[in-house]
Amino acid sequence: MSNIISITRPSVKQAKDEDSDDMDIDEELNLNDAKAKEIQDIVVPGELITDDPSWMRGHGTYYLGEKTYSAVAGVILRVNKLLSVIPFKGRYNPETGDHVVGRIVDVTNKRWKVDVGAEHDAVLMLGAVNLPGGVLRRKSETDELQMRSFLKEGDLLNAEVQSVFHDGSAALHTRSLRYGKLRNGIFVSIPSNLIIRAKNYAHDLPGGVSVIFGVNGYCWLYKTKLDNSPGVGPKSSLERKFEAGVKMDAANSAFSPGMGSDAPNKLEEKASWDIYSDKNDSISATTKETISRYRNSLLALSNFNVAVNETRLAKAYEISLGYGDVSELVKSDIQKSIAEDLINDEKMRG
Amino acid sequence: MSRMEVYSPEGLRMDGRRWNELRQFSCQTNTHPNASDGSSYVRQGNTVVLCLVKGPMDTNRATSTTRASADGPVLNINVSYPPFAGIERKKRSKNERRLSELSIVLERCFLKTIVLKNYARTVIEVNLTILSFDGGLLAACCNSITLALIDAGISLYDYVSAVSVGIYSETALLDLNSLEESDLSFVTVGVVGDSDKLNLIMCEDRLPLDKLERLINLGIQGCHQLRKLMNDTVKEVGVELLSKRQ
Amino acid sequence: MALSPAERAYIYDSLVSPQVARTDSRKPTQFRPLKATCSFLPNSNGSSRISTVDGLECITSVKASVLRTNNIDELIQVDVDIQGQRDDSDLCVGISSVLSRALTSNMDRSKLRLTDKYSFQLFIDVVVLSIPVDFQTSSYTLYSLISLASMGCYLALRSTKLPLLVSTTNDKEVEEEPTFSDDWESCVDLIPNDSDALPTLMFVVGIVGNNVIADPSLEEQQVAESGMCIGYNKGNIAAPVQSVSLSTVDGRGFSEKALLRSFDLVRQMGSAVTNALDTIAAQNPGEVEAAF
Repeated sequence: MSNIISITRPSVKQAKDEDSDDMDIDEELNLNDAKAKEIQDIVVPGELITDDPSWMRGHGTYYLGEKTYSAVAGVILRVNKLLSVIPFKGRYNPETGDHVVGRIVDVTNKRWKVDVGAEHDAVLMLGAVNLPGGVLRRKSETDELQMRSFLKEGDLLNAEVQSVFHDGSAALHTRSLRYGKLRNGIFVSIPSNLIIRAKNYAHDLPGGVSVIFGVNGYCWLYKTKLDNSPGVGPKSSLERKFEAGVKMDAANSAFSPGMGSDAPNKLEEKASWDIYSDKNDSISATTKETISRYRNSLLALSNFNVAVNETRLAKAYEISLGYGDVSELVKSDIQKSIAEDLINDEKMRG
Repeated sequence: MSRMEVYSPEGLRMDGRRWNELRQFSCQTNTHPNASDGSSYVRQGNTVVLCLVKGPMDTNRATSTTRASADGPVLNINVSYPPFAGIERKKRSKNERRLSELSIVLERCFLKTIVLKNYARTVIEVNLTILSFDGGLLAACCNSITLALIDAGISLYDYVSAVSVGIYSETALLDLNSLEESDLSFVTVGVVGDSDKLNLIMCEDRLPLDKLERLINLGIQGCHQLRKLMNDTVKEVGVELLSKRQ
Repeated sequence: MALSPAERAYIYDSLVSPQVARTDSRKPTQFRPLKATCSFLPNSNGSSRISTVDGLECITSVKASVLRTNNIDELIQVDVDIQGQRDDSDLCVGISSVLSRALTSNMDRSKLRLTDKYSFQLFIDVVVLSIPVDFQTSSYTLYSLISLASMGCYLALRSTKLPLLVSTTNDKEVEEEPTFSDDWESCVDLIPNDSDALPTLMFVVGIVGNNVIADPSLEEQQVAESGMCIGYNKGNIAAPVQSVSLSTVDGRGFSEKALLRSFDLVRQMGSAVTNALDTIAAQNPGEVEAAF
């Protein structure tokens, strides 16, 4: 087909039992029940899970008397004595410690509202961010008035879930140099249940591109900050200093007070304003193409319902190189083969 | 044109069904994954309904201004009835009374079905589109909402399945089409799961009270059958979603 | 989904550069994949369903009735309904007026004419199933729906079947109501396969600097300086041609060069798009089930 447009018919599901029309009430039907039963632990709303009252009832369940029922269609999860049902589909459910990517939707009294794809918008308190001028600085009224100069509606950031409120909404913080405003890249959203849980969600990928997999399914693909490849001009000392900070922080993997305040000079002041900069670095056309290729590889996996992590994404990228020009990757049949190739490849390796 | 008999002495209805037979029923979930949190498609005979659920989400995201409630979600059900849905083209105004009534009945029904306490201060938007109408509107809407809410992963106490039942002299007829609906008194019943409990009952005609029990019993049997079919689809789609998620 | 300044800059810079680089890696002439199917509504003469990866979806129905007039303006009625939008909203009115001009401009009137006094009247109803939740807070205008809806109309019209007239076509002297064959097998296509009177297709292109891009995505629309809505029929640019604002911010005029480029772009894409749509229309008419 031409390279301009591809129109396909919606995927046609296998026709169901032909007899299913005009059924008699007395007739016992047993369509696919037996098949579905084979797959253990799949429950639907209203289905009795257990009448043993010793289980603790978690998400996706409800109880009447001693009996626990499922409230969603999904799979039963038993952790110690906690019983919950994970729905097949659903919005992101924040948990403390999650690394998320979010977008500011509102600036209100001392707090930002952040869209993280959950049922409720998350809040980011003014007190939970690093402000220019050193981390130990006290937040003043001026800061309250100029909140929009740090983060405004539409801005993307990555953050950690600090705590979860009773209603399931999250409070975020960016009190670490790993977190904060995002630049130099593009945003990709995939279902949150396709993100494979890991220790670390920020990764450098081959080709000078980095990725942040938000646990909430919001992902950020961007030009790697520490780019030592030749052809890139010498970095300013300021940039290097900034990167050193990032590295050190990543190594400690925790925020250490006093860090960043050891040199309260002009340079430091400027560097910390940089974390709220809206300006992109210069990004070469090749890097942009690589970012697009990663984007399409990521979407290929998500469109065909394959969970992702950095190894899978890197592999999918590698596979995608075999499919010719990057513009080919938009087509859904090619996305499908990328996803299938990846799965077959993994099966072969065991 | 000679008038067709609603129910022949041989026990056949205009479309050849017997008194206790449902029309062809088919359904699908997750039909619009990119446009909604949950979606479904339901066909009962020639009545075809699409349902798209958005949410639960913060109330400030709702398309209409909504006040948050601390006890549970705000459920906004919108019924859109495009001009081409019937045999004759007819343009309906967006706030036609019958349609608002329909959405109020459905809202009440599902506020009793959703596990409210999980969704305080959120809004759930439900958009129904009637692609083709041939009777049993309330029932088809109700079934498609159930499926779309389940697809969205929203906590429900149980399925709600609904069907219409009409009365022809002494006989109760299951799942009426629009020709039968115009001739007979009928009632729509919605049943909770596979129990005998009713969640929804709506009757807009005069109906002899002594026959009501018979109608409801037939309706409950029909609903159980529908629930089974819906359940099969939900599991099938779920298994498919799981199978690929390595 | 309002974009952050950094995202805007990234997308804008990529699009404005001499080698257009789209974030989804498409070529400037390339559409995103579409899904479409025809003739699935039981109560309509013709119908189609078409959807994009954004989740935008148009369902189009064509219904015919018999009217005692020959005035072409009355014979084709286009109505657009967008979920969550009032019927008199700018968007609904804007889209339906462009579509009705496009469809009436090149319609073969003789096809609709039944007798000397009677004609078929076509009601074309477009339903946009859902619009993104962030429409209110984002800067895209969704006028790009013109392109999708126009493809939907094209498919629906191509799949439209009309009953066969069995009474006489000459009713100048004798007053006679038209009667039709009861046999649905003997219906006729509104647009026969060999017909050269095809409905006009509308294309929406985005303009960024001197560059022109086909089928701008929602993100691209937000950085587009302007947009053009251009009709295409049988290898040529057709009426209506008009500029549309794709974004509510940073709107700017466009150069003559960009205008000519956008005509070129539409000419380049036109036949490929027509062919792709014709292929879908030619496939066996679907049952409702097959459409979902």
